[in-house]
Amino acid sequence: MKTPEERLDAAVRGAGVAPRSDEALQALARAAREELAAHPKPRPWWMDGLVLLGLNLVMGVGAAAAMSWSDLQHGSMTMRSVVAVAWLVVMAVGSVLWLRPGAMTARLLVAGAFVLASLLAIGGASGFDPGAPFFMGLGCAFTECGLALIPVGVLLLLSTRFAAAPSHVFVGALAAASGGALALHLHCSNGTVAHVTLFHLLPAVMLAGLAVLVRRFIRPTSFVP
Amino acid sequence: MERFLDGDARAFDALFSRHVSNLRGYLQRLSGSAAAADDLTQVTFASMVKGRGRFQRGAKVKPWLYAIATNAARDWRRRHKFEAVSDDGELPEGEAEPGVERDPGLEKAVKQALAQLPEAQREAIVLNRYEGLSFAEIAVTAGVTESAVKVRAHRGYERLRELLKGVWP
Repeated sequence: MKTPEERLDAAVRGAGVAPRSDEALQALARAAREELAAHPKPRPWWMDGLVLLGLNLVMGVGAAAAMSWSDLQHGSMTMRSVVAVAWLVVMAVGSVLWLRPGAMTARLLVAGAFVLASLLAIGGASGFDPGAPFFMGLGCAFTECGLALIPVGVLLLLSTRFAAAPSHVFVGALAAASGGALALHLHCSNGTVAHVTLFHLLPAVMLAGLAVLVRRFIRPTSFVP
Repeated sequence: MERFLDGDARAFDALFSRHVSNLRGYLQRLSGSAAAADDLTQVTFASMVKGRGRFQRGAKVKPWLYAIATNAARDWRRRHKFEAVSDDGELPEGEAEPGVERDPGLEKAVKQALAQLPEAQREAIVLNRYEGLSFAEIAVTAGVTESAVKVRAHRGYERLRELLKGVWP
């Protein structure tokens, strides 16, 4: 006489499994065998990170070098340099670490670095108000989003190579937007906390959120975690 | 696994033979469809080959493989309505276990009850009860903490008991 637990175990094992012959099961390996024959060498996960890093550097550092520089946003030259380095670190480290397989630690590190860079940017702002209408700050937001558009597009493409969680895409997009934040940090003269927060930092977060939404509609080509 | 990562086809064949049957059973339990389970099994192994550069050397293969299968099943479920019965409207035949007395009524009730569980709870129960993965291994598979998996499984079993009231004492 079986106990209720044993009855449930047996039912659970039996429920809904149709057996397959060995031949039928072997047929299920065809696609994988073809893929293995076509690509005998695996592609390390960090290769895609290097691609994104290169692109982010070109966009972020390129834009920072191409645009005129202003010292008015910054409370001191030291803070100007510290914040610039912080954005560079977020961009460089985040471009690779967003892809790292395994636990959330790497992604939390990138998110933490972004928060730290943001706090430094806010804390180090001079408070200088150039007197332009508030909505003119939209130009900064558009510049940042425009600079991040191609890197985020590439990031979305790269994210289809695995089953990217929203956190992967979010921190990857934050890293991509950090290039624009760096350029604005060096170029923009507005040092008010409201301007820096609303038009330099918030667009990066919103862009990252938008990237997560868009990614939901893109089907991955591989379901590896 | 190391040889497979380096592109050895025979190592792949060995991995495939070791895991395909159980993995297909897992996918059929998640999808409720034999045809979908076949498709998802193919997709899982193809994904494993394509994405093997993301495997962390030294990690366990089984939780990684089930993580791929779970992701593939989630994607499939997003695109298809969950099927509580097989393609032809009948409960598929179960795997014949030697010496085990079958209880088709209870099996059908379990299958329908499982289909009603939230996705995360169903995955935790199926991986633990059917596939024999430990809670720590399921945590790796689901990308959450071990305690979160235990909570999911506990809630899933509670719900399963509620749903099976009258069928299972």
